[in-house]
Amino acid sequence: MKILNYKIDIVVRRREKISKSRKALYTALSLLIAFLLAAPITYFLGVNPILFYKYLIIGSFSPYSISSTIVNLIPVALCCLSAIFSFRAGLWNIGQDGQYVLGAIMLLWISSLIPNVPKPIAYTLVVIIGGIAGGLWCLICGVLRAFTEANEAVTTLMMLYIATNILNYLCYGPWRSKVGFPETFPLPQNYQLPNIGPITSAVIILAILTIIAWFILEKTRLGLEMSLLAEGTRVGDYAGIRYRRLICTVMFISGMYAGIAGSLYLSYYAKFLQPGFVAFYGFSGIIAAWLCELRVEYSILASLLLAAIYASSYTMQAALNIPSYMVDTLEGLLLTCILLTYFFTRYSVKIRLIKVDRVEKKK
Amino acid sequence: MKNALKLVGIVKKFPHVTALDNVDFELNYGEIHALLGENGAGKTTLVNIISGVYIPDEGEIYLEGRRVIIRSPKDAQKLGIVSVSQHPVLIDSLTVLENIALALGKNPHDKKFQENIRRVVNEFNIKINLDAKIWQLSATEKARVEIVKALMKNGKIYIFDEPTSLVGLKDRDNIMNIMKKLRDEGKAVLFITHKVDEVFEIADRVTVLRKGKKVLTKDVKEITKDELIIAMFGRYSEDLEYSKCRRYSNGLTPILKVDNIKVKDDLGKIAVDDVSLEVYQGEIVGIAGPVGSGQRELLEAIAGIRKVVSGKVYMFNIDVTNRDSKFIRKLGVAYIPDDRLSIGSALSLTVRDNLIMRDLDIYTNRIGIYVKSRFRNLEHILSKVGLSKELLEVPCADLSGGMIQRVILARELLNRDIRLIIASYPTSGLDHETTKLIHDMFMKFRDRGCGVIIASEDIEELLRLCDRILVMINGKIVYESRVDSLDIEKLRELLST
Amino acid sequence: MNISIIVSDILERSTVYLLATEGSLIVQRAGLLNLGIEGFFAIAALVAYAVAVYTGNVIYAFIAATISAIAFNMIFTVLTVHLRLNHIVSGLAVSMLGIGISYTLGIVLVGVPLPSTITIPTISICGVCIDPLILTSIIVAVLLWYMLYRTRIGYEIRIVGENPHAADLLGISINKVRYVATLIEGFLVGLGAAYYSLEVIPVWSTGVTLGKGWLAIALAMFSLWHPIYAIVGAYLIACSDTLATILPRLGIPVSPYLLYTLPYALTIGVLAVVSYIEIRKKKLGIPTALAKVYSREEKARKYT
Repeated sequence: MKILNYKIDIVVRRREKISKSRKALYTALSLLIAFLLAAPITYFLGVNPILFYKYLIIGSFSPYSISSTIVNLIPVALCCLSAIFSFRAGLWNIGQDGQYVLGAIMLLWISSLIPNVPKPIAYTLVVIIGGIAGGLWCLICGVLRAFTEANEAVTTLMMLYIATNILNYLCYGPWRSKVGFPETFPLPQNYQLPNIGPITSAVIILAILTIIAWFILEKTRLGLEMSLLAEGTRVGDYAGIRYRRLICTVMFISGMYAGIAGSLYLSYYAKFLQPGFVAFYGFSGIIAAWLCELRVEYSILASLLLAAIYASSYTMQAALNIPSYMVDTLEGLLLTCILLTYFFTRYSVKIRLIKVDRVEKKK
Repeated sequence: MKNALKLVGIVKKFPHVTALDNVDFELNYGEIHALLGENGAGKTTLVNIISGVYIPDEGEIYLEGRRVIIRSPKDAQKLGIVSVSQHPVLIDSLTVLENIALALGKNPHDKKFQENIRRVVNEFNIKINLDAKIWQLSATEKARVEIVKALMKNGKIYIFDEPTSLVGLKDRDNIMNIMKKLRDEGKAVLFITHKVDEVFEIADRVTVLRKGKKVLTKDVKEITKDELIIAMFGRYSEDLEYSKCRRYSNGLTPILKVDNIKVKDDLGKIAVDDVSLEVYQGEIVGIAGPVGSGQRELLEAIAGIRKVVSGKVYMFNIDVTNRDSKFIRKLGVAYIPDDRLSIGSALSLTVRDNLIMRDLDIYTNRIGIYVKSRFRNLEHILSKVGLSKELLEVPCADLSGGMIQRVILARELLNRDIRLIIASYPTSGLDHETTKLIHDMFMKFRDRGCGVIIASEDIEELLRLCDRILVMINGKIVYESRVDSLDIEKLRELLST
Repeated sequence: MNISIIVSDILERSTVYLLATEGSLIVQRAGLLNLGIEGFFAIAALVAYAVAVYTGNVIYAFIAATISAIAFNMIFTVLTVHLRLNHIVSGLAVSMLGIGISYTLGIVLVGVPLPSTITIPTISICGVCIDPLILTSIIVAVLLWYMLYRTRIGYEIRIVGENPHAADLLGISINKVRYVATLIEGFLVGLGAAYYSLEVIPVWSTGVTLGKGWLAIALAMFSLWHPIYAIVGAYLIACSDTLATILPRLGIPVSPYLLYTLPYALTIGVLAVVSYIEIRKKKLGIPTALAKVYSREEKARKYT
């Protein structure tokens, strides 16, 4: 006996093309949804969600807070570039925050040894020391990956915790300068990057580094070799890639960018170290990198969005008493929604009802 | 005869190519139905739809008259569709027994199950060791495991995808017998092939696909070989004799000299066992022999992407043993790897990137920055292999196998001055047009004085192209001869083991 | 400075690590690199603490913790298995979400002590406190070992992690297997997190669980994804953790922060050594498909 039946048929198919405007629309939609989802949590904390959104917008884009946004933009953007560099090669450096911390620590240390260097040299040293420190910190994981295949996502995370603990040690210990607060002595005056009007001059460095990153990735063979590495097949052997050398190079550059983020931030904003120096700009950078689909052209835009969240979160903390971890929640929501968008822009989902004949099973 | 399977209006598209264009197809119980067509005609795609690997964009499938939806291999299996794939997919670290048991959802330690397997193995006369681990088996033995798996599934509809392409003669006869036996037991047997002779040997009906469309379905008794060939290619197949412009060297210094080399395969076993050979200017040397005898590893070692364990390799009198592939390339050596998807090309990169990736020293300057002016060459190179310049920015993953091979060809042969071509199964799985292009280019280069060494599973191809032929079995060269003085009987005998 | 107290401390910490590691191990065997573990560890810990504070019932606390861990973990599974998104980034998303929600909502509980009704029954052997969870963690390890190597679902998990394409063609439902693995992970990590927040830490504070989750991932790797070796790994790291608390009390003037780096440094070292040994041996049995996204059609295209 035949039984007629309906079946829900879900077909997921890879899209051939998606227009840029459609993609932008989906992305904007997902960002909106992410922010909407944050409301229930604020409500739970006893905060009016409307106020939450008000301060979110004011906190990021009012004239007063533009400079605050820029302050956050630089580390996020540099960590974003760090992530782009590493991910394009299929290497997962996710310990940017650790390299960031090391960059700052080394700057503070070396600058304290030679505090009276003339300003132009001091400013250059900020970049160089930060870069080398961060680069080396990441290179350790790179070497391990190159020679022992130790998973770099895990090792960079471990190094992150080691770095934050070293930071705590220094702040509570030998570099402590104040009683009662775990703060270190400040960075020598000459090393502190000046402002141009309300905005820090570090943006110039950011611009230069961004252009350099773009150039390396698009216009040199390193970019191509990194893509070949990311393939994960033997095509690398075929193209004559020296794997170990390449892995170490990429990890060094990636760590370098994150390290510069740390030393710059110390120089133009923080001026001294304390345990809260780690604001997880690294993870924000990773989110931004994913948001801009690993393309340097869009990295500033993506980083701007994340920087805005940071800037406004400080305002919110002050005005509404929302704890700082709210930022992480927001970013987590953001990333999840971005991922969902990524899925919907790559695949099309069709759901339909189909009539299917079913036959009774014979025993 | 009862109708087992009916496909109506099947359409399947991939980026840049329509694999199946409104195809209807029917399969009955108690018949052997051959699906014939050249490479790229859509046979494998159609069969993948039946076995649930692909989902059709349009069209319906009916099983014994009722509409069914097949969304995964599991769905297909539930409906009694069993497919024997061309490339066995087995778990290396487990034994044959465990693999078969897992495929059937049974416990490998079940005594009754083990008895069942032995019974089937004997009934169908298949030589196999149930306790061997998969990674220890040869390609032929793995194919046998696939067959046992399929037979144990006891399905109603059997699909064999090019069952005779990777096996020796003895296995081939055995497979034919198995198919006949299944047919006589009332099952529906569908088998894919591109060899017209096989159709006449064993099939009851034949369906021909060409470029994604169904050309005909006929009883085998009512059609001739010529009609089938025209259906497959759209014209008489060209006279398959190439110009006998053979050159035989007179003992000058070889451009490639291999001295007693040993090479290991991916599992650490010796695949090339003490092989020596020479290739001279202006000649094409072919390496024949059953697939898996070490030809692939031999050519990879010569090209510099596999380690030579002992022995020496010389090119143009230079010792290149274990030098990396970049060094060898710079000497003017082209290498066309057998695996065009995971060695020969980087699928996620564009055609442009694939064209330059082996010659970055040409396309970038000393410090690694791209030199724009040298990129203008690329359009010209593409046109020489029949590809349009619009493809430059397209990712290779969107191209068909034939197009990818053309990109590889263009890159390897046209970027620099080439004196030696190493080709590993360059035409396997390709359509007729691309195959001809490759042959033409090889001969052109040969005429210019280049040396070519090519491994192929198609002995006809080698007989047409080559000046000399070597036969490699189990890692050793067992026979070598100029083509004009070839002992055909001896060759057949060697190749049929 | 009591030996028995030290031993109790080690046992407690290692239980947490062991449970979390076993969970991560199973899921890695199925080919998933779940970096989101930090996230749902934090959530489960908070939930356990909160339920304990508000109901005073330790059983409810454990149950609630495991359920919340499983549920939160599902986000990761949906993202990676159904939507086929990148593991690393999906894991980070889930982690950030989890950490964020946990420490934001947990603000209200900072410094709030647990009610005295919250006790886990313990037996005292030579002054060392042993509670059922310590034993459970060892039993879990043995059970998982048996499951992985002797049962059908264990076979399936290993195959899915080693060669998803083969698993697919064998008719194994990759999705089902990965969901089962995630369920187990959520359950075990939830248990471990609840135990951590109820037994190991004195009182809730912001950021108290940071670093434990990812450490579990590393531990799973360097125990070569073997449930029994994981015991060794967990105990090793627990010892180094405990060392960090003892040394100051012994009057050795080392900053506790430097000692906190010990477990991480140790983990990196062992991971490097183990990975190196693995690339020398034949790579059979390690989940070679770890962190790779599987898509049936795209795999099949390789053969056209």
